[in-house]
Amino acid sequence: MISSKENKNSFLLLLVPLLMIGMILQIVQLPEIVSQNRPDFLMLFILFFAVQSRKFTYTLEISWVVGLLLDLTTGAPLGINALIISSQIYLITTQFKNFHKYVMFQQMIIVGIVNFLVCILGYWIEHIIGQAYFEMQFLIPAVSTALFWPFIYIICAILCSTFSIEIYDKEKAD
Amino acid sequence: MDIDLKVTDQDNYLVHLRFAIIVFLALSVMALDVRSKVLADFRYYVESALYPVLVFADSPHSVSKIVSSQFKSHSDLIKENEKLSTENFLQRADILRLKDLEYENEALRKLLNSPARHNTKRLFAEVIDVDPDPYLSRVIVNQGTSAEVYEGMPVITDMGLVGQVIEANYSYSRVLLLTDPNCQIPIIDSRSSVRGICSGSGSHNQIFFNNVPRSADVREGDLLLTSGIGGVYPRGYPVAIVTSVGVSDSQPFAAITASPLVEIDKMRYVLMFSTNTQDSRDIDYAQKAKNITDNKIILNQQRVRDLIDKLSVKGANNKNEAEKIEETSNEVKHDQ
Repeated sequence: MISSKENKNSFLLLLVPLLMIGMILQIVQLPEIVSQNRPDFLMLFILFFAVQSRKFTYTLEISWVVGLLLDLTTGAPLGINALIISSQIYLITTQFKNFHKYVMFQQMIIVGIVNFLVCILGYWIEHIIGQAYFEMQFLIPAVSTALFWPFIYIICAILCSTFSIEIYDKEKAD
Repeated sequence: MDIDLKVTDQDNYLVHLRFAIIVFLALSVMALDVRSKVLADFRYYVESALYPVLVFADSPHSVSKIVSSQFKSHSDLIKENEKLSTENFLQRADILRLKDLEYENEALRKLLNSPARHNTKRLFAEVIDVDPDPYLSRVIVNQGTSAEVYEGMPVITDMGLVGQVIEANYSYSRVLLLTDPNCQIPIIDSRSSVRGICSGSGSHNQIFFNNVPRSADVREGDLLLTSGIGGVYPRGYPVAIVTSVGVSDSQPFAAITASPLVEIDKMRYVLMFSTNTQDSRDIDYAQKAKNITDNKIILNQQRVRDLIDKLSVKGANNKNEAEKIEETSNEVKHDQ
């Protein structure tokens, strides 16, 4: 029991800096071609912790808060990124309960499809608000998000092992 | 194991509930932000506080700029200096002419009883970030309400119009680019004086010239300027060049696209300026002009009367002179 408590603490110590890095990656100024197809880093970081550790249950709330901060820094309508990120986390953690047991390419496909669906949701909401215009390019980030998932996964796993953060569940070990 | 399953079931149930709450919260916050503007103050303060984050996010760009400027060779610097000083010299010469034209314009406008235009405030600003949201064509510049930036302030570069300020925070502000679909600019064709409104397409190198009749005289290569109608954008700033004019019989309007003159994805510095109507000098002048206009009927009558008198006196004088000349010529003839 004591060890699990310790793990929980150390885990936030890694999550918070990663979220800050993710936020910077989301808003950093890049050339336009890269910027248009920028993967959803924040979602990927939160997703890693959400699927790897079932003990940590507040990922939805965290993604909501982080999404709000992203809205404030990007000037998007308040709450839209909060909704986009938290619904992706919700869909993956509830609809694909054995997500962490899948092979990497299956995980990539799931991440890509969920991101694609939520992109359409975002487009739809922004269209209702009256800010969106149709361009097929808005779906490319779904592909880049899927392609970046293995890298983020490996980086997070390495960081976890370096800082000796035990995030794997009993179920996962089985 | 059974206990574990029960726990996970309960967790799942809670997850659905929590997600429902989050969706509700997100939608209500969005509605409040977009429709009722209740959160405008909250946004203003929080976004002003987040300014350091934006500066930090821009750091790769600014650092690379500093590094590249450090590694410029001496000969490059001399070349650049020469080029800039030549440019400066030519521009100074142009400004001399401009000053003269400005005085002349002011004098002429006075004659027409219309208030002179003073561009009282110009503000230099640097682009520090581009909004990464795919649906928004906006940039962030490092001047805010602390430097008297206000919403609706027009923004230009040396190439042409960029857009207008859509949100002013304490230390930075967001500029809506002319390529954003929400941006509508009243324009005029510089060659044929066809007026219209252009709107952004969402793509960074194209804007649409809307609702122009098929018969309108707009051709490829025409320069589009701001027309000054609407009062947001001052008159005469170049906006775009017409790239294609599509006319089809089935459509009531021509489909005209234009390419913005400003390279929106590459620009780094912008100029924000206000036609400051709050200036006391302007108000005085406007008041004076109004008084003159109010008394115009009397003035006009007076002027016309004066004019007639003058002309008639002149005419009479001329007549007299002509008669005198005739008389003298007759006398000369008689003498002969």
